[in-house]
Amino acid sequence: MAEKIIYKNHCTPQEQADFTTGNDRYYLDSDVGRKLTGTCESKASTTGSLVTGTFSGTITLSSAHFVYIKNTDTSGSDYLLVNVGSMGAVIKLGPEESFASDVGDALDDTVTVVITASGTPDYEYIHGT
Amino acid sequence: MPSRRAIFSSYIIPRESIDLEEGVTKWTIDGAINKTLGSKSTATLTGSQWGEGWSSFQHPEQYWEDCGNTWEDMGEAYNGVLTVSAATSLNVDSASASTAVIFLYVKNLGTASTEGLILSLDGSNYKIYIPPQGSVNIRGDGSTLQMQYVKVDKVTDNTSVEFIIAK
Repeated sequence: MAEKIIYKNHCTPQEQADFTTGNDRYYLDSDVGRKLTGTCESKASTTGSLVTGTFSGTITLSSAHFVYIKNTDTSGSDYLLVNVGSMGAVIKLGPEESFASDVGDALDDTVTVVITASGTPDYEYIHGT
Repeated sequence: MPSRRAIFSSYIIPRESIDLEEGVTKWTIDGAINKTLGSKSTATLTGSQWGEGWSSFQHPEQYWEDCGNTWEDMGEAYNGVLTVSAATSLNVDSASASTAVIFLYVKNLGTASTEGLILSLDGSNYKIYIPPQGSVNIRGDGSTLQMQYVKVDKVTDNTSVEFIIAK
């Protein structure tokens, strides 16, 4: 048995049109002109298991090829911060936001991913290796 | 300037293979996880962005009042695609170099397995790998992740990207 991870990241940029009637609406951003999406197979060869919990201390995922991390709070202001390979804790995940990506600087490279938080958000993650 | 936002989402399919009797391999949802994963959210962006180059779909100097160089000599994207043959900053405006990144989307338009892309969030370490045809969504922390630190580079062969880097 083998394992693999397929993942997709989508983005729809929008701009708001202000109508005099007040029925302001968002339209596809005219600077970009279309929805954006990418689909690929991760370089990880194992999916890991789904881990869920409430944040209570720094989480360290070592030897990672792929990470998926989600703040599973549905409201509030607690957030997670993700530090990929010592680049700094600069990826912020508010309620219901996630980060999914391969990590490392090459196909065979792995890195350590560190998760910290402001508050005590609920979370889930998988850690592909 | 209009208000802007980016609706962004992720969808993850963990899979495992099953080998049938005659050597046929079938793929199904990983039994240990037993579901797909993901999320959907919205990032509120500044209506007036740092320049036309905030996305790869507009040339940063498409308007004459922005021009300081000969148009055809510029290396930045102007048709939606930015070629990556070395370390390349996604922000080409020195005046906004220290501006916090609110939202970042990068797609690797390469197709061959040798056209991997790596992304740096600190300007020197490239620790996010984007496979050919893959993409990544990142909401910045609002302070430490600045425009000047976001760079991409090739892994082996040249590739190209499309992107949004927004304040």
